[in-house]
Amino acid sequence: MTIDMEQFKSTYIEESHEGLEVMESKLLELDSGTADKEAINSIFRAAHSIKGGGATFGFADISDFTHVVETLLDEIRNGKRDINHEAIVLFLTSVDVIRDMLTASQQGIEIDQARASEVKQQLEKMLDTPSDDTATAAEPEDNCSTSGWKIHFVPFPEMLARGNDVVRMLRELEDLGTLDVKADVAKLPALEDLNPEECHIGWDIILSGTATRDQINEIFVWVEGDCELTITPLLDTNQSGSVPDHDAKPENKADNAADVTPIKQVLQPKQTPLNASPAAERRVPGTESSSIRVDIEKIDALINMVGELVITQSMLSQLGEDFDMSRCEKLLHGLGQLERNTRELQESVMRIRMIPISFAFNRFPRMIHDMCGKFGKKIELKLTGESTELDKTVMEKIGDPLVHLVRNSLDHGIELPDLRVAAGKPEFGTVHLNAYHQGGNIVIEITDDGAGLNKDKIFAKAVEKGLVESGAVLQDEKIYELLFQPGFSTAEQVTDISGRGVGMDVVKKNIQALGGSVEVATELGSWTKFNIRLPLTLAILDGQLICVGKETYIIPLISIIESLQIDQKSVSAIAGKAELYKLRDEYIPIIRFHHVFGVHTDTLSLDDGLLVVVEGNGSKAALLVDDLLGQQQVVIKSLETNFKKVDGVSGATILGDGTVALILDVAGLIRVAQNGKFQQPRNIIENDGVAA
Amino acid sequence: MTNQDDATPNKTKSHVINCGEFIDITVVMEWRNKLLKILPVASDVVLEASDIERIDTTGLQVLIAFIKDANVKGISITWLVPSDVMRNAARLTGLTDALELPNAV
Amino acid sequence: MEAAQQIDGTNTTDMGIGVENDGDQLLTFILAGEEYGVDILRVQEIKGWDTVTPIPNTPEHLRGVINLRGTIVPIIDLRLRFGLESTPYGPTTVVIVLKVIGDHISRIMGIVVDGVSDVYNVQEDAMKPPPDFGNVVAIDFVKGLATVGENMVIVLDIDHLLNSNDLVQVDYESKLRDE
Repeated sequence: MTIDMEQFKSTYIEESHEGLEVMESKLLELDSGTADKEAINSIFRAAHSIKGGGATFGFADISDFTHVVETLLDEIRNGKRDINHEAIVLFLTSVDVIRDMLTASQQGIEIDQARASEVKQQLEKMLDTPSDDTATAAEPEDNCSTSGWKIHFVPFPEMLARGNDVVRMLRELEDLGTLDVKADVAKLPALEDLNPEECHIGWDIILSGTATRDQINEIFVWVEGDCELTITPLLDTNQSGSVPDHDAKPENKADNAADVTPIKQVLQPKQTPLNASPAAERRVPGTESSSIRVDIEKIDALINMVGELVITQSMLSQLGEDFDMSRCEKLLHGLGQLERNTRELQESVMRIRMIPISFAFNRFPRMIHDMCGKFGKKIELKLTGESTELDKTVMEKIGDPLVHLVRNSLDHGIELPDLRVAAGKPEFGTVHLNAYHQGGNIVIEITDDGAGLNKDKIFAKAVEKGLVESGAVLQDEKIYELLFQPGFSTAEQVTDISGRGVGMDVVKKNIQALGGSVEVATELGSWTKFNIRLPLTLAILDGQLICVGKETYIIPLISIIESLQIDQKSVSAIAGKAELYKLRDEYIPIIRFHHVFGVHTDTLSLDDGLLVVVEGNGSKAALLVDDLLGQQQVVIKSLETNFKKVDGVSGATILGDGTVALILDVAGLIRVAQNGKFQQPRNIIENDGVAA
Repeated sequence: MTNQDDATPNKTKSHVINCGEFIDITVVMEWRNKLLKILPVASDVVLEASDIERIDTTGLQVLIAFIKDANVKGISITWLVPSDVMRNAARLTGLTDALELPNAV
Repeated sequence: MEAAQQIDGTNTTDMGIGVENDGDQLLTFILAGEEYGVDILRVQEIKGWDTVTPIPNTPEHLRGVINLRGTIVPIIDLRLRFGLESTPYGPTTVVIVLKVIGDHISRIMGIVVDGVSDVYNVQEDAMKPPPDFGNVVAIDFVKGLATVGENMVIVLDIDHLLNSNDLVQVDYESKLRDE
């Protein structure tokens, strides 16, 4: 039977990543003592799924490794072993290993075998060391001889509706030995009150024979969570090993071995049922996946909008059939409705690409946990606004910049505990990530109550790096902005965790590439706050329309500082060529747009046009344009689909009249202007009046 | 499920319920409704179960509920040759007594 | 006024010529007195000339981009591409929208020509390879020469003609000339 495994493989990998996230977050909870009693089961189930699926879909390495993890987890949840900090750290490392294995498999590269076997050895070592808990020593092993088992089985009402049937289960149980079954129908309601699809019967079963607990568990594997199940060995002595009321334990169906030392065995499981990752709430944002999970409500809203659009269309169509001016008002009304429908549809569709920022936030608990371990800092992470939604692509791209900023807070912000206490601060530092919507943007704040930024030090460093004149007098904000200048990266910023020494300038560039901005505020000795602003979507832009000659261009509003009428007195020229405009206390280079873009215009003197002061990638410029047209939201169309990337142009849009307008990339434009190589305006070939 | 009337009026009807070939969760709601209708009008009921090839927990359960109610109302229940499948299902689930199945001959 | 016609590569065209299906079908057009042909399966549509949005710092023959039902499509003036004098665009000026394949992706581009001619059926073997002009003319974009009736049709390899490398590289020579 050939089934195309490829599609299942990628689903398996995705779901396994989710499972790992569950494991990680629950492990962290266990470590901090905030876990619920289900935590260890969730962790176990996740590992179990990964192991089973790994075997089914040909990922033997992953399966083998995870099996050891699973075995340890099983002991813990059976009460045979305590969970302690050391174990949790080892489990967290295992999660990393599995994660890397999954990514390697996904990308078709080699798995780091050395690391995997090293960690596996540590796990096996832990398994071999018996737990300190002496009570468990007395517990009967599964391979201990017992004359049978007492099984107390009470299905929850919905168990049967899930495709389970007790008759079948009992039949299978009978294969394992001799059954003595007592049913309890006391809870069965009168026929009138009975929902016949629910189960209202409970059973007490004695299974005599040489069956093992594992074999019994196999039979109940599908109803785990849907029933009360207690399996007690029939021994006169020592009932302490019995596990109190809790759910059935799923086991590998092929694991028929009676002894419980499977670590050394090479597992060859048969078709293990691939349980969907339990309570898998989250996705891994790291690898940019090409699929998205959408709330069904959003889809329904979309369907409704389209429905209304269709109605409007048919209404307009009817109007158009025999139209005369007397029906003009109806037409205008219909067009208004069309505008509303289209706008609502647009908003609705955008919302589909939105997912909560919690996906980006959820890697931080682990990072902080590791950080605390490695550097002896005591840090508490506070997350608020995790449900704030943003575009999936924006979120995937903001992940790394966020990590760098948080690392920065952890590294340089929060001080060591004793320093904090000495300064009268609480021993635990706080890093607070907050997100909220504002206007058409999402704002992300990263605040730490650490040492704050020292502006004198920053200034000195900037002078040292040649970024600023030593005598310059700068406002505080400007000094902090220096942090983001290329070339500012201090060697100090490269710590073990930060790794590659990526500077803040790269962070800022990444954020700007998304159409966003980043600012920093601080108070020396007390706190530092990074404030990131991002557009809610990448497909739409708030733009200022400008015209130069006959052409219309769009400048992203976020790049515009201000627009003004030129005051000739403020204009000066260097060597008669480079023109500068004095704006308050700054000299800004003037860029004659028509020159750089080779556009014909009659507005050649500065007096006739307007200056639009823009900023891109840290540089400012004043663009000379003919006129400002309105401001509007434009849909970004790619130039690269059929053409290629053009310097100075970030994309195009289609205006209301159907013509194409280019969207300017301010940073690129400034670069092009600085290069000095541009064409003359084209010869106009077209005759006027030819076009429609 | 067929209902053979004895052509005698009111509460002296003997109902024969043919259990058919299967009673499972897909039809159990229907069964409950039909059994519910019989309770007020029957005085004795014959359960013809010789054809049953498949019965699941819900099937057993709905019959037990019916039988319990019938007992309360004083309706007599007689099984007519329950099939082996039926017997086995009842035995496995320990519900032979609850179903008031007769001992095998 | 847009005269948009959809050609789907089946037997008959709006031109009214019936052709059979074996061999290659060519759509031919006139440019500077010569008749050129392109594989009809690459022709997406034929439009009249409309205003174009120029792109800065690109070769002269790239006139700019247009909006084709929501997609941004570059328009190339073939005369300029061939280094010929361009003529003013008039009512018969036509833009042929083509699907161009290169680098594992396909793009849509339009070429401005003097006018569309016909659709011909050309057998594979009826096409002769282009003669070698040495360094005089770079003609890697000519697939071959076909004879239809008494006319010679220059069959173009549009993937070579319109590959993005050509459009990407700003022609520095012409720039220096201009400055």
